Formats: sequence, structure tokens, C-alpha cells
Amino acid sequence: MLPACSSSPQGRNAEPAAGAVSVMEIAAARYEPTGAGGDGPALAADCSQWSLTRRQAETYFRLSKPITMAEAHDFDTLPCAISGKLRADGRTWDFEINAGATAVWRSGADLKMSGCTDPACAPLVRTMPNPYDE
Amino acid sequence: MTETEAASNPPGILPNDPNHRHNALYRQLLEGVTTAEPGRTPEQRANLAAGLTDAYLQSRPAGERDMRIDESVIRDLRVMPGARDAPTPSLFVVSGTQTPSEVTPRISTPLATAEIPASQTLAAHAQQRTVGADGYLTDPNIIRTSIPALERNPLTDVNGIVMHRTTGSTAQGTIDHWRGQDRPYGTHFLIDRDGTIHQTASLNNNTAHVGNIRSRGEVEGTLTPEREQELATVRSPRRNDDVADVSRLESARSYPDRYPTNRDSIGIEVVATYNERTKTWQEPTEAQTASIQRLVGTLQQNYGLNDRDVYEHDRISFKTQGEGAGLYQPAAVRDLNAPGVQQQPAGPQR
Repeated sequence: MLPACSSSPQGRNAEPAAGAVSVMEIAAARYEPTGAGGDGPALAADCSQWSLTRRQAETYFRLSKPITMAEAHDFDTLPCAISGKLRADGRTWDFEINAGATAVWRSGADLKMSGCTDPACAPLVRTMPNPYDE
Repeated sequence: MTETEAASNPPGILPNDPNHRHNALYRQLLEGVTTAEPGRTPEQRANLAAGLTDAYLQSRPAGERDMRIDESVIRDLRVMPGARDAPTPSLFVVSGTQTPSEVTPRISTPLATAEIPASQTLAAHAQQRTVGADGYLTDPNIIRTSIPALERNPLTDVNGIVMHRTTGSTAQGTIDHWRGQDRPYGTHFLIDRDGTIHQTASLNNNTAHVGNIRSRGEVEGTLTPEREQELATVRSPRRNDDVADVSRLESARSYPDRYPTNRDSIGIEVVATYNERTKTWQEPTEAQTASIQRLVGTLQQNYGLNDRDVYEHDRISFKTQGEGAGLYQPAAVRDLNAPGVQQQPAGPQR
């Protein structure tokens, strides 16, 4: 599920401050073509160039905000994601950051979504929400 | 027809009206007439352009006369004068480097058409409009649930219809979501689970619903080497956001070389939930399917679009897989599903 994970013993055991996120494990970007004709070598290559360190993922989560499913609809969804494990609110969560600047956290039956519209997220993902007015 | 009926049923429009599906053809031919017959009055030129428009449309197969003609085809049309001493002096429509004698059948109009009013010549191509002057459909069964914040810039040219799902369980939830924002992303129409159609934005304006578009040539395998190079250039490693860069490049192309964008499309949201765990979308109800078919048909009729102009959002853009799938049934699929018709594998959908 989490190929090529990197982890840190310190990160794994540390308990973050309230509201903070501590990324314990993070995997390489995973390309998952949707079957749409445009999901081709270019997107695969772009995905392979994407990576996040645990610190970068924590920055990404700090800049992100909780979103509803309806709000997630306003973001692009790319066939490329980085998954891992994090610690927040006293719990361990599996997470997946989509290259389109959304993320899903799962812990047991609980599921949370977040999205980043802060321009500071741009270097951390592959595309930011489109202004849609173009 | 009563006064009330007349007000709610906008009269038919002719190809010389900017909202007619064949107005681009008429304008191209009018430009050609202006060059070929510089000595004519504006009214005579308009009458001749009407004659050529009529001749061109009559030359098309009967089943295609109501369909819009690709911009690239129209751009290639020229108007050439025939011999002045011919038994019936005429103007001809040719394509590219053709000469009039190479066009079969000949597409022409006698110069005498200059004296026949354009409205008379074009009457056979009147297009009924059920879009009122305010951009709302006149069908009383469509609920006007206006959300002005959805509207952006003038929508002058409609090339496509994009089908979406909402990720919600009620239309009211989506309406509340849109009303709660200053500049929401959203569509012109919203179809509830019970089939109720809400028109949420005027068709005189576009709304923000498409997002970054994919390269059509890449998706459909029709890239020329030149286009391939253009894509490679915008995807240069020095650039940050390939998705947005490709979308910008594509958006500058003319339709249908590219997918529709916010600027030239109508959006329809269909209320449906998404299961994040199973990665599946809720199927449309029977009532929704009936409303989708009716609404898309109405819009096709008003804007001269066909089934090739109806798109699934996730096929043309970067969205959750299946978001726009299985909502609109093109005529070819409907025919296949008809009783007594043997099932055949479906071709690729747009």
C-alpha cells in the first residue's frame, strides 16, 4: 500500500502539539491512470518528478484547510498521489495527497478532506486550483 | 397565438442573427461577397450572402442542415464571381484552392439575388429559440433559481455542453453551497434527484465549471507533429504547472480542435453522491435521465449542437474519474438500447 516509504523513528514516536500534524511516513508519488486518453506518458513523467519530504508534507497540511466534498469538486484531480501516515489530534491517519492540491485522511471509519488554495502550496503539488475564469 | 404566448415563445431567428447556429457561415460568405462585389450596397451584399448561405446549406445532406459547421471548414470558404457574360451571372462558394468547376454540385447564387430580401431567402433556415432575451429557457417546467454570483463574462458562442455530477445528495445543498460564496464555481443548470431542472445562471453569460482542459489531440490520438512539439515545449521542466500550461495552450485553439472551455460551453450539474471509499458515483435516477435528455435536446436545438458536442467533465478535464459518465445518452446509444436491437460494443465517448 505504501511502496518506497521513508520513515523516521523520531517522527514515528513524536506526539505533535494540539492541531499540529506530524508526518511519520511518506511514499514516492504513485501514478494511477484513470483510463482517460490523456493520461499518458506526459502525466506519468510529471508524476515521477514529484516528491515530498515529510517536512514538506507537514507544510502542505499546515497551509491546507478542511473542505467538504462539494468544495473538493472545485479542485483538479490528477492521476498522481503521494500517500503516507501522519499523527494528528492524538490519532494516526493514513493520508493521500493528490497532485491537484487536495488530500484525504482516513482513520478507521473516519475520513477527512483538505484542500490548499494558498499560493505557497504551488511548489508542493503539480497543479493548483484553476481560476476557472481563463 | 396570444400576447402571452408570443412573449414566452421567442420568434425564430435567421442565419444573419448572431445567435443563429449558421451565423458564422453567413458572416464568412458576407465577407466574401464584400470582396467579390465591392460596388454593391450593404443591403445587396447581405442579400447575396443570404443566397449563398442558402445554397451552401441546401448542398448539405438533409440530416446535417441543422447541425453547426466546424469553424475550420467555414474559415476555408471563399466567394468567387462567375463569368459576367454567363447566361445566369452568379457568385460561387468554393473551399480552399478549389475553382467553381471543381465543386460538385456547384454552390452558387445568381447575381439577381441581390434584389431579393435576405429575410425571404433565409426563411427556410429559421431556428426556433426557447431562450428568452434574459438568457433563461422559456419552458415553464424549468425552475428559475437564479444565482447571479455564478455568472462571469458574456457567453457569445456556445460550442459544447459539459455534464457534471455534484457530489451531494440534494439540489438545495448545491444551491446553498453556491449562494454561500462570492464567486462560486458552478453551472447553468442543476438537476435534482427527482428530475427537477433548476436554471441557476443566464445563458447570456458563462459560468466557471470546466477548469483546466486536457489536450484533445493527445486524448483522441490526433496530434500532429507540430502540436506534439508545442505540448513538449509547454511541458518543459523549467515550468511548474504542466496541467495549467497545457490548458492555456489548448484554450487558444479553435473549437473543435480543442475541448470546450468556460468561455464557450454550458454546464449541467446532476445531483449525485460520490463514495470516497468505493470510488463510485451514484447513478442518475430515471427522472434525472429523462430531464437530462430533455434539457440537452433543448439546448442542442437552440444552439445547433449535436451529440458530439456533449462532453463528460472528467474526460475533457482533470476530475474524479466517472464524474460525467453515464448521464447523457447520445442518440447512437439510445438506439442501441431500443427493444429488439442487438447490443454492439460502444465506441469511445467524448
